[in-house]
Amino acid sequence: MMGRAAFGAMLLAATVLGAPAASSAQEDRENFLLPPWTGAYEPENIDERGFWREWDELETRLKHSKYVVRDPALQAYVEDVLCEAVGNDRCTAARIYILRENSFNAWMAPNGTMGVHTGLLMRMRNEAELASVLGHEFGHFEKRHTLQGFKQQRRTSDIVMWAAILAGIDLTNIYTLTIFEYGREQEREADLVGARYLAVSPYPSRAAAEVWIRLIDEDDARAEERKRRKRNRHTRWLDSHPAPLERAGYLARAAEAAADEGDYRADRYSEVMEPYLLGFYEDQLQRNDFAASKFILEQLAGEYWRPIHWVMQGELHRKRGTPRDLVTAEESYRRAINEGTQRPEAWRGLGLALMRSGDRESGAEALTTYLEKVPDAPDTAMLEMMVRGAQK
Amino acid sequence: MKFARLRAVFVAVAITLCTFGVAVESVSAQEKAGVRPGFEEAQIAGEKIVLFRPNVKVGSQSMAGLFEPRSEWTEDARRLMDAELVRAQSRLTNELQPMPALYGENAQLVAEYEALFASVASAVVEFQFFVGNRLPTRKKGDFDWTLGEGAERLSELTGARYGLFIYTEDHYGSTGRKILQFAAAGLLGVGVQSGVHKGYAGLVDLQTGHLLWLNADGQMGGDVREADGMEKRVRQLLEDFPGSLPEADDQ
Amino acid sequence: MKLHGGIIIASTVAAMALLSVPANAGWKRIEVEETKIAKGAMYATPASEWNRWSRRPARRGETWTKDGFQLNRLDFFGQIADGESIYKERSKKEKPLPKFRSDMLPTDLAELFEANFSIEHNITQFDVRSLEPAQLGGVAGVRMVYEYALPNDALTRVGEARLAVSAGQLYVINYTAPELHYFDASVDEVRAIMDNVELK
Repeated sequence: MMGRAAFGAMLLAATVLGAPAASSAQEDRENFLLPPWTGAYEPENIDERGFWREWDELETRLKHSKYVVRDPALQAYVEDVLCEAVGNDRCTAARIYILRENSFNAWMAPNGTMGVHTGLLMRMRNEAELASVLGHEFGHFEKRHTLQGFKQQRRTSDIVMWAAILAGIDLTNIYTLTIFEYGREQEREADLVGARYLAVSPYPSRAAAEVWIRLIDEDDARAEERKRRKRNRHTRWLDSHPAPLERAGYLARAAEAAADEGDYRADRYSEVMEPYLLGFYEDQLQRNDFAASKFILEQLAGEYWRPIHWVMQGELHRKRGTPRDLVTAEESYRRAINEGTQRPEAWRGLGLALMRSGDRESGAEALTTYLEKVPDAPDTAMLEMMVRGAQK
Repeated sequence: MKFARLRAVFVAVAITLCTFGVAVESVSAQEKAGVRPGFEEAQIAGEKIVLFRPNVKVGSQSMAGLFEPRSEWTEDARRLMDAELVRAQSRLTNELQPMPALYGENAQLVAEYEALFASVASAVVEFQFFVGNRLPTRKKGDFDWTLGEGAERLSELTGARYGLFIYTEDHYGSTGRKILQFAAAGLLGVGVQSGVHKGYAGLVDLQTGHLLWLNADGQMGGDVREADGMEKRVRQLLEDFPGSLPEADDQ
Repeated sequence: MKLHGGIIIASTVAAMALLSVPANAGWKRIEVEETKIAKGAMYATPASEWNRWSRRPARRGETWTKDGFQLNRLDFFGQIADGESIYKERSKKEKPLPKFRSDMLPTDLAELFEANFSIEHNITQFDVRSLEPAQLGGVAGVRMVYEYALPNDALTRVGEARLAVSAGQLYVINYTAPELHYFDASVDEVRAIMDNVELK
């Protein structure tokens, strides 16, 4: 609420002081004021009803899916951030499902179903960044893009099919285009609607561009490791999304124009995420994606490494497991323990890193501590045997 | 230039036909129904059959084969399906009882079993009805499939001894798709399928979990968007359904 | 002419798309007798008949099922050398698989399997139920029981894998099935195969 008031005052100031540029202030006002919310809309024509029906079916399945994270506290928090981002009148139109999936993604369907991947929650550094992504997805919903996106997609797939035939384009592209991606224009529009939500929210608009820049850097790190071409720089003809670099550019300009103040709420975000972070990160580590995982951690920790970050770094290196990694892992776990981590995984990781390095005795000691802390862990039987083996 | 392209075309066609030759042949050799050996219609006489909520999906198909859901069709089809099942009741010896509303763990259990049924039905189609891909251990053709004894819990929840599952999915070809189909048939003699019309209906003994009867077809008839078509579809789905009254077929 | 050429290619493409129903008619019956598995990397005698798929999950690997992969699946991987992945790596650039190292701890083998399995089958929800010492064909190793789910599927699927290193090479047998009925239906037979398999 403070944010909105401050923004109003700022707009007023801009109008009074910016006399020479009256017309541009007028434009700014139009750009930034949100259109009044007309309530969650009902499907209006054949195509929309079809989509709603499909998504209602999917949502019914989603309700029973093993893929959904059912955690009331986390659920309530994400819902709260959406409300802060788009306003209390709008946010009730969405039903959020947190999906256990390590990729950097979120989506929203025309019937109001919103999917938020745990990989997104893991990568965000503060509430404002999460709000910017949720606002973007809500922008698609408000602008009814799924429908337009589908129509465009259908046309595109027909065109692509013929064009591919004539031009000899790799045919696999035809089948990898997914239905529910939006067109480039829609992405741009949702970005800008999202920027407007952010401008009137308690969060700073700058957060949106920062997210995209990190997405680029993360994929660059991955590309370098896998020795493949870097992506995300240029928008190609068949791409359904504007290149992230382009996005970061116009979002930064929008933020500059909004010149809004705001609170990133980084502390609250890390506090809420603390109990989930390691679990989400383990799902990411399972993808054998070392460079990107390292990048994610470094961005997350920034200049303020907390004990949980040291545990995560230990896991990252231990799982790759080269001799140098094992040294780094050991140091990381020790640091986490010295700085007072309560996560038993620190002792487990330390024990395993030591054992793999050949220091079986110290390893067994750390594992024993872990087993004392978590006597009924799923791997208790295995670790007990490893401890006994080391003591022989 | 033109010649080179034509040659490329023929190479492509030849490769396609070679690669998929087996598949083309096997597609035609597709069985459609199975009955568990030893199952006698008499055994279900007078028993309650719970009808799991029919899964109905209707849409159109663009030229490239993309499915486009159409809600007015789906709604029509669902309404027609419900009405037709009520009418079909007169042709059946058993009372079809709708699934009672369930909540919490019970709803979850039913969802798990519906998912298991879908897995079993697709395995039947893929590994038994599709003759070219039939598993060697099933070469004798005995229809022996089950959801397991745990399905008894469904019987306890619903009070019914038997369960009927119905699934239909229809994609109606767009004009572009039909032209492609026509062109392919005329120029190549290749049957490009326009539209998808698949459906299955399965009867499960909820006390043993055994699939007693399954009727599954990838190319079903009847336009489910119209009453006549739906009547045909439901007739086809319930064709040889164990609880059919013989005289009803003459109506 | 031009148009016809286009239509022909189009129909070729369409035919490929439409007829790509599993064109994998390559099945072989596994009899109840001593059976050479994974190109001779293992030998075992199953207690009942299985079906072997013609497509191999790895160079020295093979896949069996009783009722179809939706309902039960048994994978064998043998003689995986230091530096090799468990499954065949299909795309180094998009889906690189972590590699086996001969100095791995039993817990590392479990993590190696988890990552290989999840990346191969695009699974994002994988949870270990238990990890304990066990033998694979008389060689000391690990037994991991896990559950996983496919996106938008209400069905809980369970897996049991045994892994062991023999003469510096990794051997794996992995069994997966829906938890409802199917897992229990074959698990005893599968465990007997895991106990008695002969590693070469």
